[in-house]
Amino acid sequence: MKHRFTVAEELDCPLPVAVAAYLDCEHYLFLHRSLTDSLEIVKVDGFKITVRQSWKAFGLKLGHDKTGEYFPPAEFRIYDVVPAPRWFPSVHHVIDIKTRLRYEAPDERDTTMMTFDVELDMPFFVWPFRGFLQRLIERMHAEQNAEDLAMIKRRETLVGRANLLNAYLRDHHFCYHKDEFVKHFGRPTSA
Amino acid sequence: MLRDEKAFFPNPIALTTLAGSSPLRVDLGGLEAVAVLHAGRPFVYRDLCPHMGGPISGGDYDPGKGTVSCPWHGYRFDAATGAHVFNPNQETFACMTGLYKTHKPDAAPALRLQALAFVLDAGQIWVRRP
Repeated sequence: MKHRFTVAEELDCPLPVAVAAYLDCEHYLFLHRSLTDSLEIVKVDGFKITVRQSWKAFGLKLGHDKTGEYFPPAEFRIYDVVPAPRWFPSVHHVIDIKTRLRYEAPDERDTTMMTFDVELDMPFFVWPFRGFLQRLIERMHAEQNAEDLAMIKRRETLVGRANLLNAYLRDHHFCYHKDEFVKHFGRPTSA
Repeated sequence: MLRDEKAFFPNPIALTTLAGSSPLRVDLGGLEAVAVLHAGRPFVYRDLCPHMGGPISGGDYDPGKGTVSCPWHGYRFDAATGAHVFNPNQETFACMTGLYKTHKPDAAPALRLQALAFVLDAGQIWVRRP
């Protein structure tokens, strides 16, 4: 049984910056530390990156593996979410979660329209809890989004809105799919 | 003791407020700063990570390693000199090094927290204007 919902929001930042903030993987473990304790790269296959996201509990390292795929220039999908270790009793044994995050630039506004689609495929006995699961996912997404936006807004006060992208494009800066990102969003024009 | 506001920020930092394992965010009166007591000595920096601009005061202080960290990307800086000493992400993403032509880790500049000079007087830290 499939339960689908969408979260849509206009973000007060230019589209390339929203994409860069998503690809800026070095902040995942720190800015979003409330959401995860550790991150390991399991596999990289072109635009697909499988990671193991873990939490420490009861002296164990528990979490899940998930595959994230980049659809340039501004779409991201997550799927194949499985418990790690596999024996760990997790909702991911019975619920298949797929998400699609899209960023688009509304006309004549220097902002970004974010659309986050979620599909939960679950057995009938979990169906009564779909509302709870939706609220949980919405809350986590909102929290992560708020942290990213707070970072962007602080940087905007420091370097100006027109220069927000520069730090992500610097040679030494590491982020997922950087070549593809640079191909679509170019080089900065100011220092 | 009142200080010349042309030379010093108006709000001093009480040394006693620095005892703790977290960096202290302070408003000097016109500038946000972060102060830490390391090895019995106070150090004051701008509350600004030289990497991406994060607030160092939101990070942590590791007295064993003598470092403070940025809460955004986890970069660690020497508490006494402000010099960047460690990027924990290099280990996390080590298997991806060399994957992208546009990523040139060797081009990384030497990052350093901006130290603020100060005078310690009667348990008060008076920070000089840069």
